[in-house]
Amino acid sequence: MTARRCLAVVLAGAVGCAPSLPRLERGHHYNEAICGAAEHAFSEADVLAALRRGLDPAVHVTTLAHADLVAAVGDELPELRDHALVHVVFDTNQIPLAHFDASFGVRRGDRVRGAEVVDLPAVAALLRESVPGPQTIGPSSVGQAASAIGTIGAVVLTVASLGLLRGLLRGGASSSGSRTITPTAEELRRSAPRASAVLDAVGHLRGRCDRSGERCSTLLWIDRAAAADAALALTVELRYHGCTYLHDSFEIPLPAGTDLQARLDARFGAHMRRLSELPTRATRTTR
Amino acid sequence: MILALVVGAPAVEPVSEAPGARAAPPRVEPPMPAPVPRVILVEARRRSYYGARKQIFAPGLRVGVGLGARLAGPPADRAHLALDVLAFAGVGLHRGATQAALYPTLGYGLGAGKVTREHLLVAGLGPGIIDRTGGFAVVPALVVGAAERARALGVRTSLLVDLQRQGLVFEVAHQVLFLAAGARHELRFVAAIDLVQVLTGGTL
Repeated sequence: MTARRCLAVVLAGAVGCAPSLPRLERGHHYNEAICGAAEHAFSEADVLAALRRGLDPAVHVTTLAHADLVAAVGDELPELRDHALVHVVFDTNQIPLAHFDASFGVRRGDRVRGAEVVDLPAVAALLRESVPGPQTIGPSSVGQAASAIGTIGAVVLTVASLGLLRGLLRGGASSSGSRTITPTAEELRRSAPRASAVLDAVGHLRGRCDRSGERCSTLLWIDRAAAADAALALTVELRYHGCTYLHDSFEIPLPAGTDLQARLDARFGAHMRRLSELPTRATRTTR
Repeated sequence: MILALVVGAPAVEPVSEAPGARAAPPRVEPPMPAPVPRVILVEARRRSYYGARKQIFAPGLRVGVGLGARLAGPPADRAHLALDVLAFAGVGLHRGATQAALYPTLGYGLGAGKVTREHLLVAGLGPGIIDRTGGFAVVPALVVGAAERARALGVRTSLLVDLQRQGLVFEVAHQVLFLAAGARHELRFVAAIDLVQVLTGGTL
């Protein structure tokens, strides 16, 4: 809103004027800026740029040496030789922001690959172990009979009472009797002991990046064939939830090198790197 | 210091393992990168605009009956029937849950008793407070028309309580009519139904 229009509103008796995005940014009103984007008062790209300046995200990526994993687990883990376990560390300034999270992945050529989640089913699949899933168990014949009797009884009582007891009887005969059984942690561990051992060794490095001002880390799998790809890039996605959903996505291309660790070293070294200082490409800024 | 001790204390690992159970392997600890300096940005205090409830516009048509009581002035009925049919609106002036508002009012007012016969056009505008449940306002209005078949001009000052959710409006008003015989002061107590709210179910 221009100063003249704002003055007109004040003269008309209004109490407040719409703030500009620079003013919101100066006061660190990031949630309100997202609401402004939702109302189309500001462009989403401008709001995302302000959020990026406020957060000033930094990232560091390295690989976990297979030898360290073998030493920790006490297993040669030959199935994992074709995969690199990538450790991503991420942090930001602490800013007043209601809902935010960051996630990471890789782009190989012109194909975006989602982050290969390092969880028990994924590791077990790589190690050719099986993990039991949740099981849904239907009602027994006795339970079905009891349910049928209950239904008939409820209908008879409802008719006989001219519906007066409807409220009392409602839902009384509707239970299906089926239930879902989720395997316990111990059962999962017995089914996939090697995958469990791997997760015991590296599980503490997995975390959620959903709070500004906190350092977080997470793990990704990259297969070695992808790691040798000259066009390999790390993708960083920042998502903001508020009055609307904003989505910011960057790519950090990796320079050529002899292996993945050499490429990561060339890009990140031993320090966290601000995204603003890295050669990034903005790939998407959408709701 | 105590907090630092607590935070710095090593995590206590459970040591009771079932016989034959495999001990948890040591953790892989990659070297952590050197940090970049970080700052904490604190939000300045201000009333938010975006994301706050937009200006409320609550139109209404109230039809009310009540009592008019003569306070002072030329001889007339001590009390008479008061009836209003008034279009009005609560117009919020800014964003927020509770908003300063203007209440424009336009319509017809009747005063009828043994002697009293008031047919008045009522036109007013006054300040108020409004939120999603209703509002209240003080509305000064110009009244012009006829009283006992003579031309009358006056001012009605109303205190409105608008229970928007219930579709009810209560009004206490002071009215002064300038008649040929002198100024007549009245108090009016009117309870009204807001037909717009009743017919639309409060969707407006």
